[in-house]
Amino acid sequence: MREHKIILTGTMGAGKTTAIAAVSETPPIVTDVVNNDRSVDKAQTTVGFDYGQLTLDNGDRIRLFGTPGQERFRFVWQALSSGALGLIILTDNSRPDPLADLRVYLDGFATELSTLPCVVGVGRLESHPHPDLQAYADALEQAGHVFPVLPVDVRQREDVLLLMDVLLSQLEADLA
Amino acid sequence: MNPSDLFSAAFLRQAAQELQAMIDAAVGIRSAVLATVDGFAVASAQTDGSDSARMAALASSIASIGSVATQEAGLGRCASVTLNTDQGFAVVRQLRRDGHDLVMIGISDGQALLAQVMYQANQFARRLESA
Repeated sequence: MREHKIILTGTMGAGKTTAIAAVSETPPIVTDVVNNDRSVDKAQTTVGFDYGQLTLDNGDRIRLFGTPGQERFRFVWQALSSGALGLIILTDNSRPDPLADLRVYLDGFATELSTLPCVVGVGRLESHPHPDLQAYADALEQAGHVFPVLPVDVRQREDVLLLMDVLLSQLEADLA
Repeated sequence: MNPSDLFSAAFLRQAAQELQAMIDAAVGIRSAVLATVDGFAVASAQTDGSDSARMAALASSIASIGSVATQEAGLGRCASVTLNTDQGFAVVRQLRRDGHDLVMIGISDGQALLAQVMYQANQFARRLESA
């Protein structure tokens, strides 16, 4: 049985904690505290990390680590990334500039993304259709990356599992 | 986030004074920061030029992980976390004031005695919580 570590990152409110809770087969570890930043309409925020795990059909175990979204917790991003198999970046398309948000994480995880596979999950795309998926692909290309971009509702287990399937497929393709 | 959004000017002054008192106690504490639980600096005192904003974020992360760890271990509420290194200590102490949870981090050098640093941290918490 192999164990794989996947990092979920992205903006505050993109749904990292929700995504892990949606798929974890054990009660997730959550380090949410009161959010005192009144510029963001959110009661709580992650300041340590989220943790969840699930077992694949082949018996391999996925260990999911969710990062805090705010840049002041960059040190946590680096600490959690050690030994990661791949990265999932979640964005919130209802925010003023989701592509700028994406660039924060492309920059923050630049070292990891030079070698690790990545999938971008775009949340709230149905209600906020712009930027569209092509715009995300273009932004990634401008940053020197070609990563899959998928619409996602992190409250839906199947959507989150699809993100992980696509990530794992990338890894298998790299190994082939 | 502006600390004055959450706390009075009098409290912020008291916090800064109490943090300075920890350093002035000359037990080896070289930096002390009081932060909100989500990592914003409320008050600070340093002799080493450390970045209070970064220390505040660190303190909140450490405190939250400590809380989760003690809950998972069935030990109840986490009061403090101690990081013991080759070159000194970091003590992270949780406290509560005016309905807000706060965290304090004190960084001490290798000459410090852990018991003295923890005493100072506990005294700080008691004074701020009881005022």
